Amino acid sequence: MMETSTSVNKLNYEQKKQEMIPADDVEPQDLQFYENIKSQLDSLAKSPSETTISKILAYSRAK
Amino acid sequence: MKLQQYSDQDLVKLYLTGNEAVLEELLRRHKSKIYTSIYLLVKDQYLAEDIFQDAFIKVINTLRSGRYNEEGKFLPWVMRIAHNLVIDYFRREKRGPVITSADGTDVFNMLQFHEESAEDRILREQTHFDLRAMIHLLPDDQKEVLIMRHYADLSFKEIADLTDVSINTALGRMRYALSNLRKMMKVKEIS
Repeated sequence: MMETSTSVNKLNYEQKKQEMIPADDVEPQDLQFYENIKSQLDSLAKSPSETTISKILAYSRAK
Repeated sequence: MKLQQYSDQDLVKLYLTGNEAVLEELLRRHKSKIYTSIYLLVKDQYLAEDIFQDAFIKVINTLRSGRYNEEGKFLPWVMRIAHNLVIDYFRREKRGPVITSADGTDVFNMLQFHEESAEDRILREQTHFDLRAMIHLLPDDQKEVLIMRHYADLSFKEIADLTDVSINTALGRMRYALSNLRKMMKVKEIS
């Protein structure tokens, strides 16, 4: 039997496959993982520059 | 009563009476959540600054024009504005010149950067594995939910509304984001 390739884009398929599976509660190991990396995630937080803030406030005052 | 003690809704009402100091408090309160969310999505601090500024200009214009719905929460509303601006940016970026391959298909259709699995992206790109890089490697939908849940502190209902999906889908994306991050870290440990 001849094998034929499908037109499904393999790269698309992985994400769509994940989304078709009904969401259950977050697995305990994933929940624990999230707790473990929370501080690392927090360390990635940033703030805009003071220049940007000043521009926004200046715009509001001028309006 | 100090401004820090007012709720967002009360601050908005005060702002509309002409109290400019209120905007400063709203920015102080929410700037990191909003800016970090934008920055992690667009991966460019200068672009993130521009989008952040544009978002708040829209906020100011909408408040001043009386079109703000008082029943809506302030932060999810601003996040929706910022999110739409990020989407607009990516749409403009996508609208580059179309390069076709020999069979007539758009070359960029083959470059599904945003939809391949996390493991395939690690193998292909061989990027350094710090947490920020891993977040960037997540599929866009999962990255979006993780960022809005962790940094913007939105509920899954708010995320679902903002991204026009069901709560179940938003929860699922968060679940898979965490699962994929965990797998990426395992791959890093093995290598």
